[in-house]
Amino acid sequence: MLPMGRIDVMMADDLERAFREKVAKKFGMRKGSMSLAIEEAIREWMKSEEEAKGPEEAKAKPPLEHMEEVAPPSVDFAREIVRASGENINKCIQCGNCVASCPSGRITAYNSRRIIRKASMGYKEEVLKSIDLWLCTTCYTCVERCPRKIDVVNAILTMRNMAVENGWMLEPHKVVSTNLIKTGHAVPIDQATRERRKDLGLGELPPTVHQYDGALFDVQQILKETGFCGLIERAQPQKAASA
Amino acid sequence: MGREYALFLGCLIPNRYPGIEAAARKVLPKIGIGLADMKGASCCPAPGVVKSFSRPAWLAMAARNICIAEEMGLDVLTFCNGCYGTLAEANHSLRGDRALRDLANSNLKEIGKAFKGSVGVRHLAEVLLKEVTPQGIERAVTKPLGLKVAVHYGCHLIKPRVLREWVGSTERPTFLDELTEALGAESVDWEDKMACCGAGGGVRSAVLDVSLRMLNRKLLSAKEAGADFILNVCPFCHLQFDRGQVELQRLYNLQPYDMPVLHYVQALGLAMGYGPHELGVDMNFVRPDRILNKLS
Repeated sequence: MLPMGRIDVMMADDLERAFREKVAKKFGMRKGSMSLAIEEAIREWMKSEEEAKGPEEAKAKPPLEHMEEVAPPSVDFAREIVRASGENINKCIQCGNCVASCPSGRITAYNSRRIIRKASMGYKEEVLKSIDLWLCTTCYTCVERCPRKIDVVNAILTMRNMAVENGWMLEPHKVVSTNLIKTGHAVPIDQATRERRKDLGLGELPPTVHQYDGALFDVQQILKETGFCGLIERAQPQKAASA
Repeated sequence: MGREYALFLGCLIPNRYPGIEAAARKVLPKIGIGLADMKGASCCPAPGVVKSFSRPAWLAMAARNICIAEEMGLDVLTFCNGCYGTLAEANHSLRGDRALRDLANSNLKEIGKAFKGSVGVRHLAEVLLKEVTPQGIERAVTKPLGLKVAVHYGCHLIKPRVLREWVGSTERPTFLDELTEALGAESVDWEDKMACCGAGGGVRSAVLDVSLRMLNRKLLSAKEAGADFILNVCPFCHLQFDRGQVELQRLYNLQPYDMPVLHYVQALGLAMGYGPHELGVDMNFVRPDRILNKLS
C-alpha cells in the first residue's frame, strides 16, 4: 500500500542544504528521494530512543494488552450468566447503589458493582476465582435498592454455581456440603445438643432425617440424582483467605 | 379457633438451639398455633450454601420437604429466616414455573414423591402478626417483660419483597416491633437495627473474620442504645449474636458485650410465665442473668 503519512517540518537553513546534498548524492535527484531519507532517519531515531530506555520500561506492556494476558474476556461468560440467572446484568448503569448498601462492602474491599461490571465484560476467571464472590451475605438490600431492578444476589448465586461447576469451592463449604450428604442436615446434631434435648424433655433426636433412616436415604438419593454428590467430590477446596 | 401447621424445624433449631424448639412446642399451642411434626424432613436446604453450589439440588431437596407438608395437608410453619427464604422461594418457583416443577419432579420420582403446589409456607412472625395479632399476644401475656429490646428482623424474613407482601416496608418495617411491644417490652431505636447480622450467604462458615466484623458493629450499636437483650426470629442470626460474642472476645480480645440473645418464642414464653430453664434461655453461650434478675 502507498504510504500516506505526511509531516511538514521547519528546520535550520544550513541543515536543510546539507541534508538535500547528501540525499541527492545517495538516491539521485528523483521524486521521493527526500521521503526515503527522512523515513530512514526517523526510524533510526525511534530505535535509538527505545534502546535508551531502561530494561524494565522496555519490558512493560501497554495496559490493555496486559489485561488480556491475565484473563482473556469471553462474551459467552456474560451471556451464560444472563441465561442461567434470568438477570440482564448488562442493564447495570454502574451507579453504585449496591456498594453503598452493602454490609460486607462496608468493612471490606468487596464491591458488587465491580463484580457485575467485570462479569458483563466477560472476565470469567477473574470473577469466578475471586474470594469476593463469597463475601456476599445475600442480605438482598442491594436488590431492593437497584434502580435498574437487577437481582444482584441472584446474579452472584449464579456465578457461585458456575465457580463450583468449575471445581472452585472454599474448603469450609465443602465440609458443610459433606455434612449434608452424610446426614441430610447442613448442621447435624452433636453430643452436647443431645443432652440438652433430653434435659428439655424433647426426644434425644429430632423427628427429622435424624430419626428416620429411610428419609435420609431418600435425601441422599436426590443429592445423587441432581449431581450434587459428584459436584462436591470433584471440587478442589481452596483455603478460605481472610478478606 | 386456632389452626394447625406442619412444623418445619430445619437444622439449627433442633441441632444447636433446642431451647427454641422446646419454647415453641410449649408456647405456640397456648395461643392457637397447633404444631404437627414433619417426619423425616431434612435441611431446608440452606440458601446461602447449598443454593450457592447447585440450584437443582437446592430446589429438589426443598421440593421434597414441601411434599411432606402436602401429604399432611397443612401449611408449612418455620421460625428460621433461612428456611423461610428457601421454602417460600422454592414453593413459589415450583408453582409458577412448569419446567422447574417437571425437573424437580423427575428428581423426586425415584423416591415416590411429586410436588403438587397445594400448601403455603409461612414464617411464624407472619402468623403471629396476622392470625394471633399483637392484641392477641397482649392478652396472653401474664408477666410483661418491662425490658428494653433491640429488635433484629433478619434479612430473609423481609427480603426480597417479591414473595412477602405481608411485610410492608423492607427498609423500615414495624411489625416485629409491634409484636415485641405486645410482650410489655420497649423496642429501642438502634443505629444498625436493619443491618445484616453477617452470618448468611456462607460468609460465616468460610470467612469468619468478615462475618464477625459485621456482627461487631451491630453489637456496639445495640449496647449503645441501652438494650437489655437482642431479640430475633431466626436461629442463624441467634447463633451469630450468641456464639459470635464469644468468638469476638477470643479472636479480637474485645471486652465482653454481655448481651443476652432471645428468639421471639423464648421471650414470649418468659412473658407468659414459663421458667427460663424450660425455654432453654440458659443454654446460650451468653448468660441471661442480667435480664433474669431484672425480670424477677
